[in-house]
Amino acid sequence: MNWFGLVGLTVTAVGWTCLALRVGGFVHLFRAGPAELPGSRRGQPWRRTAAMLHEFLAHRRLSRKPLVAVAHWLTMMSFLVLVATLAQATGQLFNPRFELPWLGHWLIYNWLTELLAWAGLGGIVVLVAVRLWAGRARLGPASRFFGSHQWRARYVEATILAVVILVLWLRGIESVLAGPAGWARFATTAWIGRLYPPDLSDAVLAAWVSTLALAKILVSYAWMVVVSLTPTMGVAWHRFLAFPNLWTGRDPNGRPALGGLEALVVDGRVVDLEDPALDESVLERLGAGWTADLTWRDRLALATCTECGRCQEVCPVWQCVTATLSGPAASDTAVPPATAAVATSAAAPGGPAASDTAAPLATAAPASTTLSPKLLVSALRDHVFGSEPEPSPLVGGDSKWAITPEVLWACTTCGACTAACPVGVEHVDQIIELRRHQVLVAADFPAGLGTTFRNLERRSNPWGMLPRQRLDWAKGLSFEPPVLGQTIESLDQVDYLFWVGCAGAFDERGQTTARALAELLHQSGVSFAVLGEQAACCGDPARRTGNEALFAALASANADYLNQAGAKRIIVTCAHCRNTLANEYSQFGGHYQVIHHTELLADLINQGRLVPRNLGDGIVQVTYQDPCYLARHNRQSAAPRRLLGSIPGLRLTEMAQSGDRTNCCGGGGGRMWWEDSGPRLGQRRFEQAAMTGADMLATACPFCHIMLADAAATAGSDLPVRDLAELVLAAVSPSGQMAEV
Amino acid sequence: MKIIVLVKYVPDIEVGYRFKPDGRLDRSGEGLLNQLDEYPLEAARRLVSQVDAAADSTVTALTVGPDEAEEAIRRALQMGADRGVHICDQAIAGSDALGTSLVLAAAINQLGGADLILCGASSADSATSLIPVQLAARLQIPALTGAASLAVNGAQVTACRLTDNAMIESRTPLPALVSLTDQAEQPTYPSAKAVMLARRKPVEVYDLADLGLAPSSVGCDAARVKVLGVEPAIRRVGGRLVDASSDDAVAALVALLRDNALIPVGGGA
Repeated sequence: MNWFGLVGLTVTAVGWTCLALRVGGFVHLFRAGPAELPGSRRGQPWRRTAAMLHEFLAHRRLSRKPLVAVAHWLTMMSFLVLVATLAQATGQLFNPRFELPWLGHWLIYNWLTELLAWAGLGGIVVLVAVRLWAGRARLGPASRFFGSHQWRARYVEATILAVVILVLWLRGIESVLAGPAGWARFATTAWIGRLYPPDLSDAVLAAWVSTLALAKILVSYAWMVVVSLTPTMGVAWHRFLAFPNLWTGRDPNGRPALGGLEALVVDGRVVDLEDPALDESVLERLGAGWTADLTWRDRLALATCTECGRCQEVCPVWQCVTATLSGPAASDTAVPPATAAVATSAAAPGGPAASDTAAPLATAAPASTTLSPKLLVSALRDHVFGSEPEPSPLVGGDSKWAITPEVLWACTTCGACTAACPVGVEHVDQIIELRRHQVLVAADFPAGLGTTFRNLERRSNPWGMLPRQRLDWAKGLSFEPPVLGQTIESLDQVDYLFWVGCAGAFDERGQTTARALAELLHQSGVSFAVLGEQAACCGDPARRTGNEALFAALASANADYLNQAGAKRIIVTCAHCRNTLANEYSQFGGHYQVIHHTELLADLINQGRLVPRNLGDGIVQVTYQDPCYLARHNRQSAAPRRLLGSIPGLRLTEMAQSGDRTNCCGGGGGRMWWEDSGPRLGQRRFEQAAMTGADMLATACPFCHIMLADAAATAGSDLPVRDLAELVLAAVSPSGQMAEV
Repeated sequence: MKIIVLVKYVPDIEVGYRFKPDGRLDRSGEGLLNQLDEYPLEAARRLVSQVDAAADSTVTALTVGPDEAEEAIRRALQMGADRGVHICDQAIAGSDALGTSLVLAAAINQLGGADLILCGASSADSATSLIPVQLAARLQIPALTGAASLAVNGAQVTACRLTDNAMIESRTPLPALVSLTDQAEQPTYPSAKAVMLARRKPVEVYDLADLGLAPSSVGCDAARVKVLGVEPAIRRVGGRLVDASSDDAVAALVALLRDNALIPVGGGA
């Protein structure tokens, strides 16, 4: 009786059975999720396939960490090729000289196996080292691995390490068994065989082969059993699930799910909240309130998450909270008093406080009340896979997996997480779905938001200002801007519609920007018209806080009005209006070319229609805050820099996080509209701007402008915060001086 | 428990309002549910959700007003009322508080009375705060007015009233009327679900004949309080600053005072 063979075949059978059962379990669980909008996840299959392969082969999103990208790529490839060695090992249990038919004698296959085994070894050693270093306990919540199930990852890493070592070791002995004739096949492993005494009998060598082959089989199938029993082990499952998850991403071109949001969908149908015949059961299921509301794609994405923490590390909310907890850069020297007190009280008497901060920091991180996109995804995943006797709400319930309202409402929808995710988790969309349920069904949301909703409902703007105040911003202009419906009847008579936006109309700083832009357009001979009292909020604050009913009301009325007025080219000064008008109004029949003012101004300067001169005397150092909804959600960070570059005597000093990796001001996602005791993102971002030593902080979105200028005032700083339009207006004016705000 | 909440449709006075030549408010513009009426609606919603035997609890939103007043009823239904009752009759137009309370009392009797009548402490338009007390008198039930909170225990209602320097707690047996200020629990913004379901809730419309009231007992002619005249309040405008550091500060200040006729012009002192 061949015990090796018996044991090997038994674990093989157990392993594959477990895997098959688990795959069946996944399919069952995914299929139980409600349908998506037809075509939205499966349309354009070739494009999706190409995008997935591109991501797979080029590791585009992983490339933010080049060392990890290379190591991961090699490890991933080694897995794909080394699967064949499992079949090889199974054969070796019965015949130590077993070769895979056809493939086994093919030189290229052998070399590829060796190459990738070594590459995999190198790769996994790097990945283990990176996890140990980036996850070192001393970092506490500042580590991207904080809150990840590290033992799961270490187990997977150990398995890979063991497998590649066994593959190489086995080949070394095989090379001896094969004799000199076969050595070409074992070009890089034969030396391992030569470490064995040369006089070993074939029987002993054969026993070595069988033993190592069995060890390899045990290691591999133990992994298969463990991961099958642990469906929440995304760090293992992503090697399979990342492919379908990337393929079914919201954007068929494989870009992160940013920009416009998807419509409200229940059971594969867009819900029209104005439809009086809407079924009552549909009204219970708006957004995601229960696990049953999570679509198959939501579930797939949750299962795919590897807990790598790239989202956590870039989340401005998490950054802000952990920076406060661990002090600047979590250095040894700077431990803020509060943390130090915790540390010393926990440390052994006389022990140095700083080095012992790890444990207290780890426990001090309020994971249940601080937003981390990773921990939110983990909680949702555990909720889906966990078995609870009674269905419990995803947000705010008693379940240990429930997301707290603090976490849900902390998100600014800046999209840093979604842009950073290598496996295509769509955090922002998921958070919006949760918010939709809270607002549309549960009517449970921050109290301050109720005022904003009422203002939008009654006054069509979040500030609650009166429609007749809509044109107040234009007082003091050197000319009268044409008003649609008053001075002109159709937009065919002008080049552009200037969509002033609510901030431009009602906020003092926004008004300054609107006036600056209007003057610049006037000076450069660009004709435009503005809306009068019919102007209304674009709906972004409602949509990003989950109030789809209010958003739909605003957007459909606006789109109807704009279409009737013949709007084609629209200029905006707000990144949020830009995003909503361009990317979301098509859902209401509105198709426009929406141009952000920085883009238009850069073009006007380029065409010589505006000629900027020096801003005052000498060099002016300017740092620029990229608005998330411009730079990340809409990939526009070049025009503002072209514009800045065209002003003589201006030097751009970039912040560490800039361009499409910009850090949020804290005003997005509706967070402009209510105050709570949560982290002050604007203050942190302002500190980052001030640290560049710039003379001026420029931005291109009224929300950034308000949040950062308020932060400047709070900090008692006299670093001026200005919109780019104000800079250009000053640069083209004879004095070169900025107007006082 | 049977709760009736009085609601009123009022002009959107923030947007602007006009008076007719006879001194009555021009109600033709945009209107909305009187903001203070959201507080009794919220209180009613909470009371009903606390009483576990909610099966026989109903919240009825009652209004007297023109056709457009249905909008106030709809909002009330969105905010948790189960049914709406709209008393609408051309003859009611121009009634004073006595006339309106007469109609309300008749309507409440028609509805078979209530355990608890809730209302806002005053309306944004006429702001007399008379209806709660007049109605209670007509129904011969106690009234706790200007409450910041209320609680129902068995057959009694307790209300808290906050004054500048005291908190007064009062209790009275049901049936009773309680009027609430904006110190009460903040109204909840209705969910889309509630808005949608509100469309399917019934609104009954009655006229004076249904209530057994003679048209001559209400309306402009029956009103015993007449508005003699209406003057717009003087608007405060922001002060003006004269920059004292400039050389011509004194001249500028004198010019400002003279131009606004605040100092005598010409002649010696």
